Amino acid sequence: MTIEQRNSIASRLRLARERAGLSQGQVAKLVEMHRPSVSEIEAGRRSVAAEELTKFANIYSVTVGWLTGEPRDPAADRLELAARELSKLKPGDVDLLMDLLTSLRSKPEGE
Amino acid sequence: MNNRQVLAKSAAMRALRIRASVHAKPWDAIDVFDLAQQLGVEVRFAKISSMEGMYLRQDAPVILIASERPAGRQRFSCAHELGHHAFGDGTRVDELFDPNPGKDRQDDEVRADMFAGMLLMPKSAVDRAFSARNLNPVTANPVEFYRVACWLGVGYSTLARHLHYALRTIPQDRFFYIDRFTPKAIRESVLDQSTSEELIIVDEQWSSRPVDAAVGDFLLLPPSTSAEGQYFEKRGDIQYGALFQAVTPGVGRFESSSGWATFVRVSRKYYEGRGLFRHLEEVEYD
Repeated sequence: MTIEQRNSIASRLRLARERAGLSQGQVAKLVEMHRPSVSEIEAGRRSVAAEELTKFANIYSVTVGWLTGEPRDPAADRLELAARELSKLKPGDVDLLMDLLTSLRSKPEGE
Repeated sequence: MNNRQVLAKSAAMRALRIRASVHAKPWDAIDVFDLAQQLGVEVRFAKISSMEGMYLRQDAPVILIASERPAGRQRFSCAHELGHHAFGDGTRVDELFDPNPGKDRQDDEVRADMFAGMLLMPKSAVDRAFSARNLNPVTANPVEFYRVACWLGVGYSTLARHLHYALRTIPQDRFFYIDRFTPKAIRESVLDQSTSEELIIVDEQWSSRPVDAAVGDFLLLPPSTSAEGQYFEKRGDIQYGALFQAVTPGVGRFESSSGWATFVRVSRKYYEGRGLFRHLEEVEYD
């Protein structure tokens, strides 16, 4: 893994955690890890094992592929939504919304 | 039956069926976020200011709710999106950007609103809410209306509109009278101070769901109620009862001297994140 890849995963892990509403301390407790380890991983100073990545993905309810920066699944462009006034969303909100939606797990945990 | 009546009937029936599927009695107040979770629908709160809520139809369905909205509005939005889930609504993203939705999509939205009203405020629950408090919706004053809205988990004006337009329980003149008062004005009259914080009035008739609050919210409880947990601070005794304020996330409990008790869950203010985690305590952990 290159330094760039590690940093990319690190910043996505931080973003996914924040979007899940958790602090580093809360995540550490949920994955039974020391808080400084979570901090080190998110700073890109410690690599993350595949098994740990899966644990994080499950807690944040995102796909491992999104965390590792895999190219977006073409199926993501076929998302089906029910939403009022999507055409009236601010451009920044549209980007935020689409990025969030495409990061989320599309199948229940374990499938 | 005209189209609107057909939509209303199917929305009401589906809402009752959804309640029954999670063993919620028709006369109970429900927590709609917990209900969604029970139905396998993930609820997330996100800071997307130009949106109220949306539903993502997939094998792991998701409801997204705008984080910076009053709690009553968030619950109604969640119930509305749950309506889309219940009816299997969903449109491809690119079509949703069309500013002129077709009639089917407009009907979906109307039906989801009707579903939300009937899910949160079915007639049995509204009747019970007033009768258990020895109140009559036709004569109840604004503070009493506000108290009932708190238990049902809906906005004050939403309850008044539902009673007038959907259930036809209160006549037009009474609706206009009740609707003249804003929730902010009612809060300030109860607290006898100006505030931008929410006020949740909790009485001994509160049952079937925990009280949900956010940090900063005031909670007005019956006199001589005590709080368990470090999540609240007592602000004093006022004319209407004992006043507490939520100070940190977590799950606590209130108990009155008569033996009545309820759980209270506190989230961060304008919480962003998975619904599942909204009441987690902050962790001091190394």
